[in-house]
Amino acid sequence: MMVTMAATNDLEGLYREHYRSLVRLASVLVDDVATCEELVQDAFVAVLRRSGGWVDDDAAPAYLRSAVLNGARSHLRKQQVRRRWLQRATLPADQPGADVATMHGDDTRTMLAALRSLPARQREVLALRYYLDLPEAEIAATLGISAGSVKTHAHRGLAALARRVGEDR
Amino acid sequence: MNVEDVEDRLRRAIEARTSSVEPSPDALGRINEKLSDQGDPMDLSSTRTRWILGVAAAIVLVAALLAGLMLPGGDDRTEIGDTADRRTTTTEDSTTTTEPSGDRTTTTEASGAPGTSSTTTPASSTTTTQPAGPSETDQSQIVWPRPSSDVRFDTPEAAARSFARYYARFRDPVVGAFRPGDSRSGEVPVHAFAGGPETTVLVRQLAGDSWFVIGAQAEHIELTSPTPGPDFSLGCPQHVAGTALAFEGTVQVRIDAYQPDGSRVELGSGFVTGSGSPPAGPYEGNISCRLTRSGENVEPTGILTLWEPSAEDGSTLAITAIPLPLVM
Repeated sequence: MMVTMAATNDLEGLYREHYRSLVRLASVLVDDVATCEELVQDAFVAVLRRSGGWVDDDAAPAYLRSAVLNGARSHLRKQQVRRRWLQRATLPADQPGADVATMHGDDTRTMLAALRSLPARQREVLALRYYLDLPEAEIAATLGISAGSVKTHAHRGLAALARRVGEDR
Repeated sequence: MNVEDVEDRLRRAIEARTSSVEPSPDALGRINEKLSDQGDPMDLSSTRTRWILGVAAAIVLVAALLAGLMLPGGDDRTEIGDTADRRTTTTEDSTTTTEPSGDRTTTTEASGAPGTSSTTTPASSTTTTQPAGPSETDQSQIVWPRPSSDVRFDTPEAAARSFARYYARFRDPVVGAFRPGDSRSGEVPVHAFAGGPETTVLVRQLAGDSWFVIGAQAEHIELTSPTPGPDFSLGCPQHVAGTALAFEGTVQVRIDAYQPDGSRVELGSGFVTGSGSPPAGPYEGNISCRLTRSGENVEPTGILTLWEPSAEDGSTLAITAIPLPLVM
């Protein structure tokens, strides 16, 4: 197979092809769209730097997806810590972003909140499966886990979602 | 509810969410800016870049040698939080957010009782010194500036920068843009130096409109115990646990109290060991410490600090800090 290489001067191509879908992928996991954009921009920078400016076109989508998910995971972990500390204060902690609160119906909000409350691997597997429709092998490559683990996380994630949204009804 | 229904609802929710998200038009420009800020990876091996790096290194070396000759003798190393011992206060231009170069921060040293320290404020600065202190409840949340000091910050970035410089003792702090959480709080990303690991500094407006640091979270030092709660206060030995990734896994721990005049009182110190290679590994330990004595003149809330020292020069690479109520 011939491997084409993308240099930083082909950043525009990578950007055109992947940027929007990556921001949208991040938005499944993270409320604030501006933060999603930051995460994706940082993923582009990280991937380009790590690869010395050369990115294998075939590998680029998985690298970028993986960097975005790592960034989202790190962001959510910090947010959790922040929330924990802000709970001590008299003022309310983070509220859902205005876009989520005003633009989406109750069911969308309920499902997204339930998805985001799942353990990291489960929510990432479900996001990759139901947003990007990736096959198990590609989800496994993106997350650096086995295809069997993908199945397990998806199964457990869906079961947990069913329980959580069932309880809310 | 069966799994098929959940799948269907999840698909529709994701579709509704993602279809409403449109990237900003300047995103490609922002990526290019970030690449330029961190150096173009394609240029790292160029002769020109090597020349620039070589010359810069030589300048830094000469400057360091000159500074060493000009400074008075003795060990001038400072530790985390020591600056407050001398009542150093900081003021800065609220528009300065990212670059350490061109930073207009000034420091002044003052002596005397609380409330008498003076602060020199540049004409362009919006930072003010206010005599009004935070309430008792608010004080229990504050890490920096110390509640009994006069120093107040008008911007979250200024509070984060002061914490980075004068408490964390970051070598050459790079302060990022404020990320709001709610209307009165948020976080500021700070790096000990360009390219260093990130410390997320949590900030909140208390005592009127002033900004205070209420905690810090190092990228690779997570603290899961102690956790805040009604019975949350210093216990000796103080149990700490979490996950960490650091050089040889070593994370330093210290428990500080502050006297109203800004003097730091070390109540305990030690170290814990996480992981020396990715991913971050669990750590757990009991830090030897002493409780504050009845009548001891310290603020009711201290600071529990965990940090990774640089293997090169001992400076702080990243820091996790929380307010720690002290048993009186």
